[in-house]
Amino acid sequence: MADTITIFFFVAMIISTLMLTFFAARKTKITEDFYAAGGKISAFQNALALVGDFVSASSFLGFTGLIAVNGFDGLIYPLMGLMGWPLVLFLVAETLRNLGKYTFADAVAFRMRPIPIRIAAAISSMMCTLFYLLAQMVGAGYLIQLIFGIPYVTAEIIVGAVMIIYVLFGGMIATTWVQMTKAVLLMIGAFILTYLVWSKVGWNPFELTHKAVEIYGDDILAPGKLYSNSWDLVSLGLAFMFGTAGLPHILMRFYTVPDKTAARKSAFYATAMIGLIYLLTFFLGFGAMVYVGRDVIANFDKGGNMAALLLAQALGGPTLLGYIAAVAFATILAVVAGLTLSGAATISHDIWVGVIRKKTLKKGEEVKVAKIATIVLGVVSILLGIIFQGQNVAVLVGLAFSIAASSNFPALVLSTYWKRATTQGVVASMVVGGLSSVTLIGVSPTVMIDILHCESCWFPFKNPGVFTIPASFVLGIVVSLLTKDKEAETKYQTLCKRMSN
Amino acid sequence: MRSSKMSFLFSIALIVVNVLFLFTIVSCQDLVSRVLFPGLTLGILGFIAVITFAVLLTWIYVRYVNQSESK
Repeated sequence: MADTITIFFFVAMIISTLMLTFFAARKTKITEDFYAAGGKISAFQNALALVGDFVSASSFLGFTGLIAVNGFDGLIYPLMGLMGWPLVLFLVAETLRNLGKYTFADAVAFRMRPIPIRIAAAISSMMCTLFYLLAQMVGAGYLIQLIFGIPYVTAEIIVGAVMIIYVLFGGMIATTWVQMTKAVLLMIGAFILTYLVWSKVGWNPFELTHKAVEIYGDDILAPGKLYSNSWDLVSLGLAFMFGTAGLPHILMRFYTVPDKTAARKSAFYATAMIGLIYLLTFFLGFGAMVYVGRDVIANFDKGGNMAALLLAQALGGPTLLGYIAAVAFATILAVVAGLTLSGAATISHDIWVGVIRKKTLKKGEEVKVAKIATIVLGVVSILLGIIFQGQNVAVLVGLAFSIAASSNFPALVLSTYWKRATTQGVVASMVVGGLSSVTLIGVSPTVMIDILHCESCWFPFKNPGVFTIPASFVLGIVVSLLTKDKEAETKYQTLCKRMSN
Repeated sequence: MRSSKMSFLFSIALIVVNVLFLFTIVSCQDLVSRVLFPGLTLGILGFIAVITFAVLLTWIYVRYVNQSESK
């Protein structure tokens, strides 16, 4: 599929983002610069970076493909992807900005005993980050192979190496700039494609869906192709919703703004921009269905991941195809860079500083450990990406969201909004949320039937969110009521003051 | 603390709307497939309405908190 223009955009993207990293490296001097861009990112810039961090290739290309192949049923995924963002604004953004420093564990540990909280939070954060990163790496290698014709292993090494360079030299400043650039390019690309689709249907968007019905029949606008069980769909929706508000690499971005007002505004702008992008995937998906054709899309890739690129080629020729391919590549880079930085912060800030070294830390040691962790994480993700080539890794994304929803989010809410919460209660909530997510997904149809090819499965739901999220909250509440934590109760007033300041 | 109450109220409203919409999609397929006019079904209208509701809710929340902080 790759031609000269596509390769040109691909190379231009790598060079321009590496130049951004070079400039960012000169601005990264102290620990706060490395983890939180010195807290100097404006609300709008942070919103763009949040969009860059959250809208992965699997959501931009994948959601468009799902709509193009499945019609109405494909719309549910973008909807579920958006619904977590208002929760981030209502419950998480300001809280984190006022209570924490670099990671979500900072806010959870604010009034609790720090060591057990940081260990539990670090394990659940690393599980989320690694599962999500692995899914992104495998998807990235596959996509780059498909788009640019580069061998899978080479693609893994390129993505891993560029990601290490961004984070190692530019820290959060470079990561933010790469994410902002990607968000702007992505929105421009989505607008151009939507403009071309709308101009074809006389500026009447429903003429597009009407055409789809004329070609493929009424069924295309009816539900029931991807989901047959209401509770399973609700469970998946809840995991997406609460998981978004518990993803460590997303939460970390709220430390990059100067105050809680900026945190609040950036969450609002990000919600609006993500809502807009997901609304546009509606037109791109149905546009690809009508102007490319479901069979053509499915011939390239059964999951429909090439739909947006094929639509770009059909409506805008090789130049637009090259541009959208480069945007897809930038999308991959922006997300993996955010994930790597988040993983490095967990290892260095939560474990090395918070648990191992505590008050005996030397100057510059924290950033040094974070940089070593970045290299290790980068190399591990390249190796795992190569090992998992050809495997169905969609389950890992579900797992990452499920752990974030069932472990991180309940811990954050209980520790910051409920006076009676104790260290034991919050740790129990995190452990049960994480363990139950891993166990139930391990015996779900996604693993037992789709991957292990068993005839039946032990747990009927694809995602266990509807059970694990309430279980985590209930256990956290029960254990807190059964235990005493004087320090946590006394510090609650300080927490309230910090939250309102 | 007033804004905390608002946060929880808004969150509950959002969760209820999301869960109801997702539940309806599978359990009331005929209703969701109903054509309002060529190219527009009740399901598509619901999809647009829920996204708009989520964005509007965040806008109302930000306005409310900004106003209460400026007083």
